[in-house]
Amino acid sequence: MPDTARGKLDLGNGVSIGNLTQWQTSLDPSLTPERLGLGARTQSDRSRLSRWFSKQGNGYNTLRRRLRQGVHEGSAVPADIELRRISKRYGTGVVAADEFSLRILPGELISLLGPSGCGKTTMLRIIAGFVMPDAGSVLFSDADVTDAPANRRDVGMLFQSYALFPHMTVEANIAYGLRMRGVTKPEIRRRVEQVLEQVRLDGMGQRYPRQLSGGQQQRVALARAIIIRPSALLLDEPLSNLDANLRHEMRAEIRQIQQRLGITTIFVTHDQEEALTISDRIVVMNRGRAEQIGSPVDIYRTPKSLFVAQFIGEANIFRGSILGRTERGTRSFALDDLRLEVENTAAPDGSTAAILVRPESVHVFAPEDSRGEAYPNRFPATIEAAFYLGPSVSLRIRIARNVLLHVTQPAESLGSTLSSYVPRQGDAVMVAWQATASRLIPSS
Amino acid sequence: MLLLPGLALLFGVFLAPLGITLRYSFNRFVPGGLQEPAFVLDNYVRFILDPYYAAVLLRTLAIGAGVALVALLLGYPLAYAVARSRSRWRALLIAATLIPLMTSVVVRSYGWTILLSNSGVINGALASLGLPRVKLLYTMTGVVLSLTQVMMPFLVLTLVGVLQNISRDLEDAARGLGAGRWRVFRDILLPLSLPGIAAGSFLVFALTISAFATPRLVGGASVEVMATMIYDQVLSALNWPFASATSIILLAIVLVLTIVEGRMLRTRSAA
Repeated sequence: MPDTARGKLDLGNGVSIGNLTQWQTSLDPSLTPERLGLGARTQSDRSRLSRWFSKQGNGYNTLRRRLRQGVHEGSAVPADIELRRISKRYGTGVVAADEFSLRILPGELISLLGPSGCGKTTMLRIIAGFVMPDAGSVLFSDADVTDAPANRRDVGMLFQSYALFPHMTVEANIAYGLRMRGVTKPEIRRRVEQVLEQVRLDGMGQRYPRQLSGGQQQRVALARAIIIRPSALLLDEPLSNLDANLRHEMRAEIRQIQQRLGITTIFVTHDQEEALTISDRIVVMNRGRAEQIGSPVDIYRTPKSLFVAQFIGEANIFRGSILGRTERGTRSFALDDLRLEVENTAAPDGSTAAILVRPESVHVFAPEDSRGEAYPNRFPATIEAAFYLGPSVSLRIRIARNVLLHVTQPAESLGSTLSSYVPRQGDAVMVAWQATASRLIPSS
Repeated sequence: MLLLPGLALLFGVFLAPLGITLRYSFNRFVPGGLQEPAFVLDNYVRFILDPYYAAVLLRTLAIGAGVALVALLLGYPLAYAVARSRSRWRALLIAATLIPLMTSVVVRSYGWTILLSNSGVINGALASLGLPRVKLLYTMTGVVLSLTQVMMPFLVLTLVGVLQNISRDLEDAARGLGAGRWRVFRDILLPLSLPGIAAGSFLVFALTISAFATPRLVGGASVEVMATMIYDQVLSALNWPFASATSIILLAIVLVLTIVEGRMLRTRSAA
């Protein structure tokens, strides 16, 4: 690139552009270096520029293309993405987004998690520009792109179906985005080679997609998406068509590449385990709204609604009423005839509430085992069903006539606790858990 | 065993008459509507040597190509809309596409003569706009127009099948990578739908060059095509041998094109 001098340009209406390169001005004499400044490397500069250019009419198209190309020679700065009160309703009456707001930080990997029909895919398609929201706005690094078509948004996208162009070679698939940006042929060749290496597909450039395995195809799709150095990477259930082992491998690979490149990434999935392992933050979605936004640990440990508690992981949910305070600073909780100790809360006595007990927080002891006495919640119980899963044992344990508890115990600890005891249907045991393991769920 | 009735029908009403036609085409014509058994190439030689017949053949092929092209240009967007539409609109669009096929060819063609004639609806509209009248009835343009209407469904239905198999994700992927609508069409839809375009256009072409009623009614005597010429040879000139030879030539053209098209598609899919 030619030498650069820094400056800032005010385009009026509060739009200013800094950091443009000299060669951009050489394309149009009216764009003097003073007017343009130099080196538009940052995402917000680019967005502002591209908006400004689109207002200027056709003469600026070439310039805009060259500008994009120039930016892609450098490393892209990850965008932060802001969704402001987005609503979308389909003709059939399905609410896909209901005043949905979210701010995604630069370089962050955020998952949109929810059951099918919760609006997560629609949200992703709105961010990509394939779907127009009825209301609300989408901002990429403070630039409003709500009305920008998908081909102007500069996002990389991965599909569940891979969506590789079947009539093009791997190389042509990967090069497509660069070709659209008018990047020169030798440069394309260099970068394709580099990215093929990055996704461990060196030497496969001349193959056609159908000659590759599912995992390889998705890696080609990943290469095709990252080669344009997108401001954001959008993943629409990219692992759903892969078998379990490959899925774990690809998951780690996507995460690794995403972190190395620092691309702002939005990952849509219905698989909670996938979301928990890969994300910086998770948005649990239901009926077009965000039920909860938080880190994987937050979402799992302190679900803010019944929906989240039930959707993430296995959950024992009991409804009852909150009673008085105990001397240990916890609260009593009435569940049928049982008295439980639960975490502290400001809720008044007698108010009804739901509690969540995760299957792995419950310990199972032999009835006479004294270790059970260390837990405030302990009940004699009967095993109704036992399933051996290898690393763990899944148990259905009845602690009262109407109360059935799902319990997961590591197979190891079970052996040591119950001394080579193998749980069988009908066995009498003692179940016990801490007060803090019974989380109150705010009723909504 | 189950094949027998079908085979019998195929042989009885299709292959046997075809064989007879082939045989007739080598007979010698006796003026007055008779033929004498022979094995001569007179009829074929006459067709090839007389420039009048070459003109008819060329005109027929031109109409076939014209109809295929116009039907493709009009039908592709329609087929795309059908392929991408959701259930409710889809049924409606398909029904609308098929309506021309459900109308009798004679009624449809007379309808077109009313539209196209010098004092017809189209020219009336042109005149009221102060535009010059255009001669459409008894011209090739008129024939192409009216044949396009009935041929388009064949093309549309063929294309719908092919376009449906092109995942929408592919278009989205291309758009996401920076391709505008035109580039998506040129780089993705067009190459992937080429087999459908070829098959549909060919079907329309083959049906058009053997069409009879519409060229006769809309084209009249001034737009003579192979089918109308064969008809006249049989019923007016009573020259069965020559009509047979002409039929065989028309059939051979379709046959050769079928083979060529099939081979083209196979090499494409093998690549």
